[in-house]
Amino acid sequence: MKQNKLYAFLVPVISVIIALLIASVIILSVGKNPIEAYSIMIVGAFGGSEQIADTLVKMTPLLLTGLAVGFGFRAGIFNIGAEGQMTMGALLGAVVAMNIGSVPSVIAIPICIISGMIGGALWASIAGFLKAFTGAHEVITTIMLNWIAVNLSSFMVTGPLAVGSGTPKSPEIADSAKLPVVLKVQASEMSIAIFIAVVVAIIMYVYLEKTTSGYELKGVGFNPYAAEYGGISIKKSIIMTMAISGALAGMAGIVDILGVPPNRFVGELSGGRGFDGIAIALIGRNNPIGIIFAALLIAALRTGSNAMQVQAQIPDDIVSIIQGIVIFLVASERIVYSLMQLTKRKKGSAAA
Amino acid sequence: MKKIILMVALISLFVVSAFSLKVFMVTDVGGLGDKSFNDGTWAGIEEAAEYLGLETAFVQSKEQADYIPNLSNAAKEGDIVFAVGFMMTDALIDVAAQFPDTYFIGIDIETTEVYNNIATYLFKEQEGAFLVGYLAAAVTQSNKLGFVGGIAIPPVERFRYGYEAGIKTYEELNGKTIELIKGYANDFNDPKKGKDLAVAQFAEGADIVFHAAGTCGNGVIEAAQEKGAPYYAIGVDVDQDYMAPGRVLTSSMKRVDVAAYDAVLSVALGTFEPGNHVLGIVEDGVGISPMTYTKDDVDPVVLEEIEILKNLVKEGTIIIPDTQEALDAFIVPEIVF
Amino acid sequence: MESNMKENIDYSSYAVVMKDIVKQFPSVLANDKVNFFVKKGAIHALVGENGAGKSTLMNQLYGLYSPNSGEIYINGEKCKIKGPKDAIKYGIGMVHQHFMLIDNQTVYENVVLGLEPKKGVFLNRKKAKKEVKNLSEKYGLQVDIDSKIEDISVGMQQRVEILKILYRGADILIFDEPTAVLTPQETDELFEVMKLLQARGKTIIFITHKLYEVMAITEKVTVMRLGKVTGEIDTKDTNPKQLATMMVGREVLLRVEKDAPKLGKKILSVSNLWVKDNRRLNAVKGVNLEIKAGEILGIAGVAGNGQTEFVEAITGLRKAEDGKIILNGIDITNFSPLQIREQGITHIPEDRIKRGLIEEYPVYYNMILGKHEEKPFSENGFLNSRFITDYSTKLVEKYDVRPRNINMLAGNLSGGNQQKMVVARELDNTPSQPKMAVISQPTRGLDIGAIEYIHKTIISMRDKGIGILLISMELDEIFSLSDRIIVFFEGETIGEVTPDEITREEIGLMMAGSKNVFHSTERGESDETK
Repeated sequence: MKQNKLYAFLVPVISVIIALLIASVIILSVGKNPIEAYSIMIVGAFGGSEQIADTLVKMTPLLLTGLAVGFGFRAGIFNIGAEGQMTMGALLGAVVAMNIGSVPSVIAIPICIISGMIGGALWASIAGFLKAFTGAHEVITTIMLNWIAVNLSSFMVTGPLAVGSGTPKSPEIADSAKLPVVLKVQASEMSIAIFIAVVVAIIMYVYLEKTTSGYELKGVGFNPYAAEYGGISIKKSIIMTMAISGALAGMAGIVDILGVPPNRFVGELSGGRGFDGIAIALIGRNNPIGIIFAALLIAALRTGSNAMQVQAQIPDDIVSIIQGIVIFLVASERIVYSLMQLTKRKKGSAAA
Repeated sequence: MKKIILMVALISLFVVSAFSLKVFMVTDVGGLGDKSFNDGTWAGIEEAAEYLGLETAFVQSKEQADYIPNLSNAAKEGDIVFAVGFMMTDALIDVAAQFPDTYFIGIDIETTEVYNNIATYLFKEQEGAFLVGYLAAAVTQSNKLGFVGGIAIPPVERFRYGYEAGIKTYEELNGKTIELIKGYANDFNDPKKGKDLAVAQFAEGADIVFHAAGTCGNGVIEAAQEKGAPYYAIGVDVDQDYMAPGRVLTSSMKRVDVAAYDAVLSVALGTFEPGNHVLGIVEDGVGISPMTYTKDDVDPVVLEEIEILKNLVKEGTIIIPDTQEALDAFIVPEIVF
Repeated sequence: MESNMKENIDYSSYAVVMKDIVKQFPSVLANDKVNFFVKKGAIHALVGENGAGKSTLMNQLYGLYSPNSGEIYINGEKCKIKGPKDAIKYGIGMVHQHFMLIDNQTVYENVVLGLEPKKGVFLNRKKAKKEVKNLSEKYGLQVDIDSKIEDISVGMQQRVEILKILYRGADILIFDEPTAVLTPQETDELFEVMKLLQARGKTIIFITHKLYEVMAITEKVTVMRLGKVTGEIDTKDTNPKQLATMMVGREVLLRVEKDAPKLGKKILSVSNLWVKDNRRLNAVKGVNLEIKAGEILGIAGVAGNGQTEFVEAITGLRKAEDGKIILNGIDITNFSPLQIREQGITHIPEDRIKRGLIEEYPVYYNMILGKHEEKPFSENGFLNSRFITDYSTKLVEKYDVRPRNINMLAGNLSGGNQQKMVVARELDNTPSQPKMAVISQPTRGLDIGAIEYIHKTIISMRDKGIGILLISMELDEIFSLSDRIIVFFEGETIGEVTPDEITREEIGLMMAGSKNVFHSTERGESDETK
């Protein structure tokens, strides 16, 4: 058991190191010094309160979409639609947040976050119901729902919700709904969003490991036939998994509006972070605690790469390369790991 | 004009010894290689930097949440920071307030107030597009024209207003009826979407499609190239005629390179002027490409007419609409060529 | 055939000699100086409980593992077998328990697969068919060579497997529990085939745990226990009781002792039940039956005659199209599996891997599957980890699930121990005693010692007044446990008997569709090509 956990931790770490080594060859080939580049990257991600704030702000939605996708994986659902659910959550939450007026923040903020979660959950439930009652595969339906969500959001910010000149955007949300800022350095500010997200990750961990409902969802993910035999309703599980997964993605969207200036709904809000959730869930091995670290890793790589661009003129594609290699290694490690398990199992049964 | 500025610049170089400014360009999620807007701005910066011996650097944002950190980082490192693209408007204002000693240049950005360290450059896209619209209306054989926009933000819409005004002008002066098919990709970065729209518009009968869609528009040009004669695309921002020689009728140019060049020089020369700068045909900020590959496809009379129209715009005789309301109210002036 | 004479010891009269074989696995010494000698042309039984080391030994003979030490001689020639290819070269073939056939290809295509006679680059179908036909006639393995595998019965598929290894020139055939999947008639036919193979000069190693089969067909028996050979004996000099004692290491009751049932009130009544299978065809066609408290009703039948669908309908896993299922006066027809569990029906499913357990969950989580919502396993939606741990530890001990590690993933347990785990969970009284137990194939893959324990548990449940529906392909099991037996054939019940008024052979005929067993001589060929 313990060895497994150590292993689960070591694999991503080693993958990152290998990825950095490979990327350093590329950095060398474009005529830059990799050691300098990486030190700029580390300083750029963690070098000061401003950098840390930037990293954590970036990490928050990544963590939540990572949890959304990871949660689905645990229950055997491949939710590719975090992108659309994030958008729809943000949209519904933003509409509520714009109109909530001047109620106290302790009331306004939970209401807005919950609306965002409901937005994501409802959107995801469409795919959930389709899978449960018609067998339509969630990969197909969630991808289609992504497109609808993205186009709907573009329409909203250029049409019904559009306000002012400048970027297509909704009006600003009510002040009461803005998340309290805990750190402000120059133009960078960090709200309490990251703490909310980490708490959500811990709740998800407890839910999956300690509750009967978590036991049931994982069971369905592993073996739906046995779960059904054990009195677990597969349909209910599928719908619930989709709804929770969507709620987490929706939360990623609304928290990004409540906690990050300009506190408005803008077009293309998700910006691929819903898809990033898939990579993050994979690196974090679908474990909520692992996902926290995976999201931190990706966020740090990205803020660090921005610094690398600015200070060393290293193209930010390097980070895409690093990220790609990490995912590849973690994924192929799983192949290797499964093979190991398989041979172990064979030996085990032969010996018995 | 340029030469004089250059002279002054060189002189001031000697005056201000140890003159070493660093120029940063921060883009939105579209990066270099778009063959239009971003590449054009970068070319202008590079040209100015080369003359002045400045350092330059380029930063691409991956998502909207990157705008503020990237602009902040650039401001810490650099003396002149370009925020390129309408989408960065809000972030630019926020960050500039934190770095009063840094000069910020916004391209395609308009601020409602004047900030001491922000100079923004806008374009009368409608003026170039007006000429392009007139040309397209003259060349079309199917009497159907297409338009592919990126996201319906003001700079894109201004292209459309001018285009429509140009078409309307041709219609009234030549007694022709032309149908316009419009579509938006809701994106600036995906050529596939632009191509899909263009293919659809060609299928509906349009034979010339004008794009104002950044990298999306590359797909429009590709579609025209695949269709072959007599179909045309019309390029945008920079001279895109070379991208499919003979199949890009012309390009509605927006001289972001000129704006970027002027902006860098203004800082170097100490003539930095905060506020919005609007460049039109008069300032050489917008125009129509020289039609290197397609001149012979067009009736010389039409080209002459366009020359005349251009002068009328310059003189201020014709005012091209820059809003929907103005477009609706646009009355084609009596022109005798 | 190619008997190289050795100077020192002459093993040339032996087809297989495995001498002082030691095989060490990380956690277990699977073979401890095993000596295994098989005479040429013999039918030689290898018996032992699960984990005794039979499969390990055979896998070394077949080249899947190499021994840590020891020697192997084939036909007197010392050899190193590095893989199945080598084994085939030495004339060794293995009929596995799980057939390795391609379902949508024909019989002859499967037989020649990998060694196809070619015409250019194409399969020479004519030649292939002729060769397979000749082979099947030579060894009495009648099978329609043009049928697709998916269309023929399990017994026929086994013949294809045998043909396959004969086609590869095998002289030494290893049969790994070949009768586990067969009906009594098919078993008899297999034995005839084995005798014919023997008459044609083949040597047969027969792995089994059914002792009467050992008595019926073999000449010599090697018994293994805990990695060692505990005896080698001529079959005619022994009896099942002695063999069982050698296997288990203590005296074993081969037949469960039980008193006459004390029948209580009616617990379950099924009337006119209709159920469809996965292809939406009627699988259960108007079945009626009743079970009283304190009795065991056995259902016999060849696999695929509607038993699976019947059980699934009763336990809520499959929709009943028509009819009624009444439990203690409550109509539970088309209740959800959870509701049915709550009504007090416990269920040991026939397919433990698919239904009975979650391989990725540790043993302790599997021990609560289906009970996880109930106190004390959980409270207020939270799992009660401490109780679950203690409870699982107890059950693992009681039912002898090995290894005694509740943190082990269920998928890493051996098949027999998985079965023990499922049985433990379903037959245990926590949190409440079931009213009725639906038990399918409870001892599949288990060894004699475990079977004895489970059989006793089932009897004691009966004696506590629980109604038991027992479905098993092991006729012995049905015979020794049931108070009444109902035979399923093509979705209908074709007869009800008691174990003491009928013989194995007669019930075998009923399973093949013959209603009037006392006057019929008809053989069950008809359903084998269905």
